[in-house]
Amino acid sequence: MAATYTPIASITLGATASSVTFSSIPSTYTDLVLVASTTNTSAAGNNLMRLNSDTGSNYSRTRLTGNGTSATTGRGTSETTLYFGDTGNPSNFSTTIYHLMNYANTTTNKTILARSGAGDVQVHLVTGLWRNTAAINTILLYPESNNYSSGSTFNLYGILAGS
Amino acid sequence: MPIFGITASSNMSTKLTDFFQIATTTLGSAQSSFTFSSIPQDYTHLQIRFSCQSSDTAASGFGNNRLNGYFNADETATNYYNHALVGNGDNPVTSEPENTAKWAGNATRNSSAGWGTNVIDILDYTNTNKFKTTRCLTGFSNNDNTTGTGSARLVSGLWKNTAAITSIKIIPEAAVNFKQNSIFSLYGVKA
Repeated sequence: MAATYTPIASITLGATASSVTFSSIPSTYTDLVLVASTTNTSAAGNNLMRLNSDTGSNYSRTRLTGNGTSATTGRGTSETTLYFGDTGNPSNFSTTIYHLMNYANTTTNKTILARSGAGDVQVHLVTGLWRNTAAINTILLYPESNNYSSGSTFNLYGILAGS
Repeated sequence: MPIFGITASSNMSTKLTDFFQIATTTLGSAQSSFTFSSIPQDYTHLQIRFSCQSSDTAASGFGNNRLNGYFNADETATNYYNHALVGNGDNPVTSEPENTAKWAGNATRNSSAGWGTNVIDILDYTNTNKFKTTRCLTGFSNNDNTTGTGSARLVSGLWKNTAAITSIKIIPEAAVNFKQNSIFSLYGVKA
């Protein structure tokens, strides 16, 4: 059997940044996995995502959150961006692993599954929907407020299905 | 502040060498279940990644979209256990301890905007000295504010059997079909 889980691109911030973008993503894989290790320059907040530069009200999500005291759930519909987990407080890195499933097919809407944890804040599982059948070729990640700190890392992998 | 971007088309040359393709199927037509059979015994763990819709037309209730998983054709539900932590968007988070095989994630209902999305790890699947355990991240969103039309669910599963796993059958809890374009992929992970 062939090995897969191929690194596609990697970003390490050398300075603060208001966003990061992976563009021209090849359509040659089955799933994408994006691993982000981030801190926010001011305070933890949501990681936001847009796909293929779509700013329309085409996104929705369902989340499950635990903050050490209680567990909560919530959802959003017809939003202009996807909301995933925490950026992390300054100096306290948060890790979010995004699974972008069946991202290159042009028949179905796209679903993203993300698990996020910020040890000093909370833990999330979020499912996001982008109501568009286009193949995903661009991923924009940005913090809901402030900036990503220097040293934040973003690694994109491709997983190819077997025959 | 600068905006960092990168062109991802310049494929990095190194592959991670411990994650292997085994099989994938995209359904060309509806079918009542999906099975990976003759699973090679060459790996330490398995990962199933799949997106699916079902033909379920129930008016509401995310429970109708849960999936059962059976190993080695053992379809005796009481040989399995699962616990789940579930958020459906507006109801209190639900714990689902059950003596059943509902460890295998979620589909979405017929005509849903979204697809049930599932990443399941099956640990030490060839080890004949221990019962088998699974970990599932699953959920879906449908851009719908009706109760039960979204889910984010963490599930742990147990099969009380020490046999090496050679087949995995995934089947909707309700007696419905997986729809066309549902896609199922199996991977092997080496230690």
